[in-house]
This record gives sequence, C-alpha cells and structure tokens, in this order.
Amino acid sequence: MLQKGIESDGINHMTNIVHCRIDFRLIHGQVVTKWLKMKEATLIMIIDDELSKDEFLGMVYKMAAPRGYEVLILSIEDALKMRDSIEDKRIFILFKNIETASEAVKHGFRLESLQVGGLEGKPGKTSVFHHFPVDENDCDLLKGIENAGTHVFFQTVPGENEVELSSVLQKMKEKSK
Amino acid sequence: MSQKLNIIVMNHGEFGTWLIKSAEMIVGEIKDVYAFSLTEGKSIENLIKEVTETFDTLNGETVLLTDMYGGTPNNAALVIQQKYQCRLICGMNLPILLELILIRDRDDVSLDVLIKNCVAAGKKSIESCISPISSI
Repeated sequence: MLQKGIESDGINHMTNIVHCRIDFRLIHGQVVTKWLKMKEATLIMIIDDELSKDEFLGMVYKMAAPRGYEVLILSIEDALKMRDSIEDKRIFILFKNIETASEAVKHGFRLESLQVGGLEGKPGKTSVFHHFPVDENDCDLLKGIENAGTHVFFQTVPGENEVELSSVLQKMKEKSK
Repeated sequence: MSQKLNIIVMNHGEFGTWLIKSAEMIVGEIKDVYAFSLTEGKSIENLIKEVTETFDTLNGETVLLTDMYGGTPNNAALVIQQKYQCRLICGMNLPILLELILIRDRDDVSLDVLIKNCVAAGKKSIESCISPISSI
C-alpha cells in the first residue's frame, strides 16, 4: 500500500526511533517527560495531518514540551519525506490517535513497537481495562498495525505493566458475549 | 480593581472545584468563580469548548488559574488566552486563590499589580517547615 510520492521501497528509514506512542493529549505534564527521559530522546516528532496545519495549537504543544527537546509537528507525508534527513537524533514519535498511527503504517512507516498510552473517550467506546476506551474499529486498526510487524501494547506510565494487544482483544471478545 | 474580575479554574480532575470549596471555608461564599475539570478521556478540544462557552457569557476581566504548566488544562488555557483577553496563572494553590479573592475588589489595585502579587503570594507560601524537635 504505497502512497504516490513515496520512494518505491516504501520502507521507513528512520532507524533512530527510540519510542513511539499514541496519546490523545500529546505532550502533557509529567507523563511524557518521564518517557522522554527513560528513552533518552532528543527530538519529539508529532505526526498529525490536522495539527501540522494548525499553527497556533502546534505552538501550544511546542511550548508545553520540556526544555531541551526539539519538537517537530509533521503531516504523515512530510514525516516520511524527512526520514532520511534526520541524523544523530533519538526520535520520540507521538500520534494523537489510533487512526493516524494506522495511516502512517499503511503509508510505509515501519515501527518496531507502538505503545498505546492514552485514548480519548467517545460514545460507543468501552474501556476493557484501566482507562483505554476502544471500539471494534480501533481493535481492527491495531490488529492491522500488529500484522505489519509492530509490537503493540498498552501502557500509560513507566512502572505500570505493559498489556499486550492480544489481552485487550481477548477482553473485548469476552465483553461482547 | 474597578472592573469585575472573573476567575476560571481549570485542572486535572476536580481539584479546582474542591479548592474553591476549601477557600469558601475560609472566606465565605465566592462569586464569579467557575471550575472546569479535565476528566479521564476528555480531549483538550472539549475542555476548550466548555470554557469558551462560559467565557462568552462573562463581563469584565478574567483570570485563568491552572494546576500546572505543561499539563493539558494549561495547554487549553494557552489556546483560550490567544482568543480572549485574559490573564493566566499556572501552578495554582490555595494562597493564590485567596489572594485573588481578597484583593480583587480593592479599587486601588490594578489587574497587573494583582496578578503580580498573587504569583508572589503563591511562591512565598511554599516552604519546608523545620520541626522544632528533630530539626528536619
């Protein structure tokens, strides 16, 4: 599933991705700071088509970032284009939601692992554990990401147990019975 | 201040609601103060919407109080501050809220001075108390 304009191998070349997280609050408080420190990241890359066009809200998130980190807010297309020009950085990728992460993977991003850290509550979604509201569509998208070779797990803060996607899918199945 | 000062409190969870109740234990009923909570699962966009809906009904000056810089309530407050004329103090605590309430009606104090004094009052209020027994 290659998008027009991406190089023919469709492979993401950003080999220095140290962490990849879905968090609908993006850069917020001490949660993300803890992860940034743990992973020794140097650059925060928010990948979100809408946010890349919202200059003001983008500025708010850049201001919210702890000192010492570079922050880039890019559309999926631009993030893919930039992949080879980012050297000597330890990249921490943030997606706002499952849909965007799924699109990025479909457009050629290869992620070793994807941490689901925070999800927005919406009507029709149920929390199978802790506070991770998901619906069938979310599960399908996450399954798709896992099938592309990414380890998908749920975890909010360091120290908390990682919960595998398979556990969440199992719980969803049980709940729908 | 010669004009009315509204206080909008924005925090994680119900911190603001309860902080206001605590302040009321000390100074009695407080008017023109509004609390907004960022609850689990609520997006920044929804919080901004809730606050701006109230903001649109207010007259006079407004100050936003948030719990901490970098948190989503403060990120929301920064967005609101761009669209609406208002002040913003992050890292709110009880002394700051009390200072605002007690001084806002004084005609001889401008908004600039009030905000400055509140920040100073908040900072000054934080200290580690030494135990007379163990000198810790």
